[in-house]
Order: sequence, then structure tokens, then C-alpha cells
Amino acid sequence: VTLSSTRGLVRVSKNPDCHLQAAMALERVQEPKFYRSVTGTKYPGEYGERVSARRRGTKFEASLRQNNAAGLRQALGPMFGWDPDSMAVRDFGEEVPGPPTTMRTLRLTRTRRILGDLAADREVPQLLIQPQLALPTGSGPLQHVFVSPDFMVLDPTAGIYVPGEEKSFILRDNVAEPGDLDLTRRQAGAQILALRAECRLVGLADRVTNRAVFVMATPYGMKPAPPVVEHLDAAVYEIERAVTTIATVRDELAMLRSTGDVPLEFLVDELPTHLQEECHRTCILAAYCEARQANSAAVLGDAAADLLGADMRLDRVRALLQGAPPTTAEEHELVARLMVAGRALGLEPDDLVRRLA
Amino acid sequence: MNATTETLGRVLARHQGRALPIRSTSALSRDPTSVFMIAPIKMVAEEIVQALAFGDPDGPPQVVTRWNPLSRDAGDLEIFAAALNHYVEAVARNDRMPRFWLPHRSALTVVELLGHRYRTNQMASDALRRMGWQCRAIAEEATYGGQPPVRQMSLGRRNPPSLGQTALVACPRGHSAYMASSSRIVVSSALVAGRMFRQEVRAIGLSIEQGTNSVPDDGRFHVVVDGSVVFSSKVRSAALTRYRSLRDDLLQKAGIEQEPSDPEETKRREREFYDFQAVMSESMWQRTKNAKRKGGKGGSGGV
Repeated sequence: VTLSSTRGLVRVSKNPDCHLQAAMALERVQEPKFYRSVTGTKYPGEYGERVSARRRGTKFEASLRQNNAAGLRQALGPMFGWDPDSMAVRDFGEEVPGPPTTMRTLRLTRTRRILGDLAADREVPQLLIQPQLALPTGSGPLQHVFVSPDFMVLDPTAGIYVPGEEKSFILRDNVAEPGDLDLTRRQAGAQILALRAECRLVGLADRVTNRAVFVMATPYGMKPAPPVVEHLDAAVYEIERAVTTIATVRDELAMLRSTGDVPLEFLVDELPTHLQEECHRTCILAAYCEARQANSAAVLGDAAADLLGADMRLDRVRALLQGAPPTTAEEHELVARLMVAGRALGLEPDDLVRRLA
Repeated sequence: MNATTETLGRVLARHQGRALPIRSTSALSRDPTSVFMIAPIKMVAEEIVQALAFGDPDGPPQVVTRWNPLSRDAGDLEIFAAALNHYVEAVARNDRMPRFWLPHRSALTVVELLGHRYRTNQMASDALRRMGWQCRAIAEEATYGGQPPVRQMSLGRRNPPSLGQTALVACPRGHSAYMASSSRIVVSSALVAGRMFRQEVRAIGLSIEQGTNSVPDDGRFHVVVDGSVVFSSKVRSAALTRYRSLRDDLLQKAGIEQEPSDPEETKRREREFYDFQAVMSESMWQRTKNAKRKGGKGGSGGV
């Protein structure tokens, strides 16, 4: 699996202070391959999405899109005031099939043509399946990320398309698992920004609001639950930060390579990282980063890093607890708080010294 | 535990190379006389029941396996529905507290979805709808505030796993439980006072047991080889250390190699299953297509 497109953006949005991860997304690395080239060993854990989970997702999407997207039309039409039976559909998946490397540009051209028609008040299809958008991440040529919503539906009241995602997560009483939704919302955040960027080209950017529509599954097989429109200000903000990080890291890499084209794996030590608990759930290099920072407070978790400061060395904390004199006001306060905490755990200062000996 | 206390705990735990316990257990009353265990297996990536083991956790479970879980026919769940209802009605009749055991959190999700699917399903029988309401009640009450989530119990393996599935289990009483009254079900999580523990490697006749019929009921952990107790301890970790050392020796003497499960192998088996399923579906699709075909020899186009 490559770390590119929306997947890369979403990952960067979860930890925008980690420039190494942003560089990995920017260079579209294949994570296991990159891990091997950095550490010299094969990634020891499981990696990638389960085949069965992907199959379920594909099956759900296929069931929504069969018969000229009858399932999607039935689900979305009433919500946006369209008669499902008379909705016009353009399915780019069928019009321009093929691998991403060849079809993206063609799909993007067609999507832009439709947005141009919309701006010119010409008739446009109500439903676009797998349209293509481009989100600029810099001002230069080819400095963009391709973003592909599962679909976009035309909202007649706002006069603009609303991006949407099909997910085979099961909704129970219209509620999905928060963990599942977090990634989906960020994905939709990238789609909103990309749509706004495309609409800017034809003067419709102000019509794009921070909302997206989700179609998820019911507990009854592949049947779609009623669609949900969500306002995603927070997700859009997170993706905007990710875009800024990517632009910064692009400049950083250009500077590091000003004297020669160095592969990314040789620049790992030059790029700032930001270890946090979430890394262990998302990044293949988490254990590697943790080993590199074994003596810093970051390895104790997010709460400890907040309290001690991520750069605080653990041997200094131990020394303070063993009676070394604090040298700064922060250290004075920290020692006082840790001593109180020690008493709460039933440990007097002498006990702490003994335990840390 | 506030952030400072937890941070100090983490500093100490890291220095000692130990894990930091962030939750402790609390006492739970003994199981009532009658207890109901539900151990489902779901289809991979689908929240659909593939098999169910249920009944009294101390006895052999009733097992329902479903040949085609994706089918709309839910008749095979009727047995479970009847058993569940029989249990609920019996405890209500005797004005007692029912108690349900589930092996882990995923099992609770599966039970919850059974509730969603059948409680108001007009196509389902009355018994299945009633089962749906009962499953829903169990799942809803499991989330009552202040109660920790259901945790995994120690499970004894009953049948070998197949097709990448986890093993069907008969569960000794372990860590988590549901206490319930006929009108209200409360989840609680703790160690049961009089508990039972058992692990075994049947091929070499080795087991470690506590509170089972094969060892003295003295609260100690007994390591048993071929029916004879060879080591006893009140401390579980000590007994487990002895058990593991004996297991390694006996396995070596018996010439049995232990292979750690390979995730690649699991994935390969899963793919193999789906490929097999695809071939089967293809043949069914072809047969359906042929059966519906119109026209004479040479195909629909009359070539």
C-alpha cells in the first residue's frame, strides 16, 4: 500500500508535527518497503487492510452502484429533493476504467467540464460516481493531491455538489463506531477542500460549505442506512493543517537535496518527528521512532509528554526524583507535583529513591 | 488516577521494565445456580453469526453451526432462541437473578446485532423476534455507566479452528459477567469468588486446573500429568511457570514441534477460502444462467 493521495493526507492530519510522515506521504512511499530500507529488516507485524474487509467494502459499493446506481439514487434522491427514478447519473468508474495512473487525468478533465457547465447554468447530472478532484498542496506545477470521492450529489438549493462516501460500516440506531468515523470524516474533509479548489477555478468556491454525506450499511446485509449529512469544520481544519505541513516539508526536502538527489531513507534523521500514542496505531515506523527516543518523555505516552515536556529526558526525571536539585522553576514545580503524586500512591520520597535505584 | 500520578507510575514502571496496571478488579458475587453462556463465531468481515455455542458454562455447550450464514433463512437460530427464552423465563419464574457470560467484547457486538436484526423483523418468527429483544436488552444494559466493558475470559478450546475462524469454546467462569434481574440487567466485571481455571495440552496429557472436578477444590492451582497432580500452588504464576516448563519438556519428548501461528499463513488460508467460495459461486451462477437460458443448441444467439 502506498502512502499517497487522500490516505497520505489523512495520516499527516493525524500528526502534522511529524515531518518524516509528511515526507513519506509526499514521496508516496510503500510503507513496508520503506521500513525495510530504513531499518534493514522486514516489518515484523501484520500490515494492510484485511482482504475480507476490502471485499465487504467493494461488495457494498457494487450493490449501491448496480443498475445505474439505483441503490444510491433511492438513498440520496429524497434527501436532496430529487425523484430517484429521474436522476441523471455519470459513473466515471464505468466511463473511464483503468488503473489510477492513467485514468485520473481523464476523470479530472470530465469532472471539471461538469463543474464548468454548472457555473454556466447548463444542465448537469444529479449524481457523479467516482469523480476526480485535485487538491493543491503548493503553487508549483504537479503540486497537488488527487482526491476521489465515492460520489458527489447535486444539492439544488445550494447549487453545488456535495461530496459523499460509501462505507460498509454498520450503523446501529444511526450511530457508527467513532473510530470508523474519524478516518471517514477526515477523508471527507479532504474532499471538501478539493471540491472548493476545483470550484474556485470556475467561480463557485463560495457555494461549497464544509459538509459531506455518508451512506453506510444497516445491520441487514448490504442494504444502505438512511444517508447522514455531516458538517465537518473540524475535519476540514485538520486537513488544512496537513496541507500546510506538506508544503513546508516539500521545501525542507528541497533544501536537504540542494546538493544532490538523496533517497528519503537517508534523510530520516534530518526530518523532525513527533512520537505520540496514535503513531502505534497508524505508522509503520512507530516502534523505530520510539527506539530512537527511548530516553525521552514521549515514550511514556501523550499525557506524560504533556506534563513533563516531550523533550524532557527520562534520566533527568529519575535524577530529580532521587533528589538532584532542580535547576529551573519548571523543574521545581514538577518535583513538587511528582512528590504529591508519589504520596497518593503511598510512596514517600525515600521509597521513590529506593525504587529508582 | 490523575495525569501526574499516572506519569509517575509510568516513570517507575518503565524503570522497572514492567507494565503499569491502570485498572483493578473488584469482587463480584458468586454465580447464581443457573448461568447462560453465549459464545458466537461471526463470519469474517461480516457481522453475521456463523456458529453459536450456548448453555451452561460448566456443561457441554449446545452448538449451532450455519451452513450458509448469508442466507435469509434464520431457522437454525430457533434452537438458540428457544434455549435463551427458556433460561430467561425460568429465572424470572423463580424470581432469581439471571447471569449471562460472553467470552469477549466482539461477542457482545454480535449479540447486539442479533437484537437489531430480529427484534422488529416482520419476516422473522415470534421466537426470533423475542430473541432479538432479549439480545438487545443484554447489549443495552452492558453499557450502563460506571461499569467497565466486557473483557476476554480464559477460554478452553473445544474444537480445532478451521477456515481461519477462531475456535468454538466452552468457557470456564473467568473475568466478566452479567448480573441480571427479570426487569433489569446490570453488567459487572470482576473475578468470581469461587472460580474455575483450566488449560491443557491434550496430546501430552498435561493440564493446569483450579476448582475443576479433576483436582481438589482447595483454591490452589494444580498441574496434572496423566491424571496425577505433580505440582500445586496458591500462586497462579508459579503454577503456570511449572506448567509451561513441563509442557515444553513433554512436547519435546513426544517429538511435537510448536510452531507460532504465522499471520501470512492465516491470510493465505483466508484467501484460499474465498477463492474456493468464488469457484463454488461461479458454478452456481453458471448453473442458474444455463437454467434460465432460452433458445436451442449452441446458445442463446443460436450460433
